[in-house]
Amino acid sequence: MIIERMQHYVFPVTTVNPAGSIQEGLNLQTDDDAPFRLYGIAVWTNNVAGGAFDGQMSLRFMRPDGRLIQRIFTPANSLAPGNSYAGTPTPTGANPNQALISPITPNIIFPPQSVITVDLQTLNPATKTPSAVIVFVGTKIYKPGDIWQPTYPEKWTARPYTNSLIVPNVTITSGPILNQPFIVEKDADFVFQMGAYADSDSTTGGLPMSLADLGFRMRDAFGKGYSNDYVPIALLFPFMNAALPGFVYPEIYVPASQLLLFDFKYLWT
Amino acid sequence: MPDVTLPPALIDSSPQESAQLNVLPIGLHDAFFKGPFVANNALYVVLLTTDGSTLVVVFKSVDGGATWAQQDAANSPSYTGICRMTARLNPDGHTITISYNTTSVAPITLSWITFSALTDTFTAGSIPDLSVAGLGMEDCDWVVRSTGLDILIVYPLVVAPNVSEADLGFSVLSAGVWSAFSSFAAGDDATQVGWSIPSLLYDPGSGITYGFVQRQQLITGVAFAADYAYQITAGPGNVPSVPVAISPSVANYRPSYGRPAFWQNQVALAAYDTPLGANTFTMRVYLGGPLPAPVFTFTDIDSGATTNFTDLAVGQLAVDGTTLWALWLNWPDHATIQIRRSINTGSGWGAINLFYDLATNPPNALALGSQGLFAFSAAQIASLGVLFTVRDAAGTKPLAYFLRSAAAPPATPTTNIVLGLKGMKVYPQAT
Repeated sequence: MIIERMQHYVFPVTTVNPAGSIQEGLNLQTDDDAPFRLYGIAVWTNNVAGGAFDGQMSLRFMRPDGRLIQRIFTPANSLAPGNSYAGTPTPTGANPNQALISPITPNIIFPPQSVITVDLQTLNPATKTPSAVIVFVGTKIYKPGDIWQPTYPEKWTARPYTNSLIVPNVTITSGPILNQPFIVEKDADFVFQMGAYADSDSTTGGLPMSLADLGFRMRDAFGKGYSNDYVPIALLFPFMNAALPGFVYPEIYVPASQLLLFDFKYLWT
Repeated sequence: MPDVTLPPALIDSSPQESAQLNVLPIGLHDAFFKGPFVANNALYVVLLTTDGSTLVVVFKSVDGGATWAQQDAANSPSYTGICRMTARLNPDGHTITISYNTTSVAPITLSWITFSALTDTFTAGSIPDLSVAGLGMEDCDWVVRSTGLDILIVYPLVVAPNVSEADLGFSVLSAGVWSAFSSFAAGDDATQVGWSIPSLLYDPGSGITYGFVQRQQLITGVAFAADYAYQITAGPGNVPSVPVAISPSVANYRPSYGRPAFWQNQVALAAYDTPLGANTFTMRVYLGGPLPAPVFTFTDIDSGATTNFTDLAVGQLAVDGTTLWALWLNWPDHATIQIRRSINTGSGWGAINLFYDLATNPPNALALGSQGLFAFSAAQIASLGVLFTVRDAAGTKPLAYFLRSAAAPPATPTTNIVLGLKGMKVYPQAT
């Protein structure tokens, strides 16, 4: 019997390198509280300047034993065919702003406090940092009792339900907006399974999807995070015209009157 | 040197030529406030079209009032007759509630619509019409005490056996239904005492509504004595208290007052009165504190102001952070059309200064003698802005302009985001 909990390991590519340059041995350390089961990878590139494929790269990464997943560098768009960017130069709202996850099968288990080593080759440099955000998508694996993880009562009924969290006056230039509570109503527990996103912009008279590159962090009621850094909103909360919602795996069970906490910050400097 | 040196910005340059209209009987104050409102990091004004249509329209500025654009034009409601349109920003900070006449003779019907600053769209039908047999709602004022759910409206109404003097009463919108007019201060035909022009101010923190109302008495057939009284109502559902005269009250010919404002745990009220037969007036500001049981004192800021157009509200207050601004009109002749001001930062009223001089900074090329400043209202914002109405370049219609005391910095795009969290509700069952 194991308990799995959604985990995003975020790797911001904090440098902007010339086209063709290679960086090897970039390490992302996993947490020490649980092994990490990697089942997918997503890449969100910095297209904020509106150029073609700004921030595009090829990459490869290694298993915990040091063996490469791929032999050669793989363009991020082949690896993760998402990054359906909805901002400039595309008219805002025209695309679903969705980051899709490229599955990794069979899954890879990274022990606690191990490293995910990444090699990068810049294809087209971005104008700002980070030039891209790589997200290793998976779960943390716990033994029962090692973590607070509420779940279904012994006998229950359910009905589909969509909740929402509204955050006013989010700006590109301001600092992070912290501790925005999503509070479950008191009449029933809530199981969070899918996410979607909408917005309205004050300067464009309500045109939607003006914050394509927003990042979020989600934490449970006790402050334990579901990621190590800001995750592109497009991964879990694609824009409302996306064909699919963002899937929460495993689903998150939130008891009645309990909450999830959200932080928001624009991904690029 | 006036505070305002930037040219006024024309709000509606379309053929419909919207304006801030206050078509009021003599002596009425500017109960019919139309902005500017600050919501969602933008400025909003609610205006009436003046050419070819009778629409209630909303304009928005995202650059501090330099440029304006009409919002949701397709759903602008129509008013009827002489419209006592008023608008208020709800306690939620982003919904503007608007009332407007849809009949112009008794029975008066007041219709309602809301405008969301989050979506920049109108929503009709959420508040039912309010209709009364008499003309009382021409002098009404109202506050939204919780968004869309609870509205208190106070208005005078002549109630039998009176045939000329009005009682002061109220209705409350609760659970989507308006209550009937309920009198809480009686008028009296025999002594010729009546009530008029209430003005309300709602404090969402305490749930208390503060109000001012004018009590009029016909004395010599032509002159009125009047005083200002205040009443207090506690939270939603509670009835207004019997008006109590503030001290010292005003007793003069044709007194009136602007909209009250909260400032430093006090209620501030701009009052002005014009002696019979004169065209000068005294700009007076009452301060009542501490809340919630204010005791009032007043200061005569300017006894030398003049207006030759006494139908309009000539004094207004605006709160800029911790500073209280008093603004009033000085319009002695067709060569001088000005707004004066004094500010109070907590240590008394400062010197009188020129806020805006229409002669040196006119909004259009019309000859000065044909200009006029017919209505103005000040924003309760950190960067003071004033909505006002003057004649158009042909001298035939009023047009709404916006005055800025300083150029606004470039607007920072801001966004309201909505995360949808989809899933299911889980209900435990007995095992």
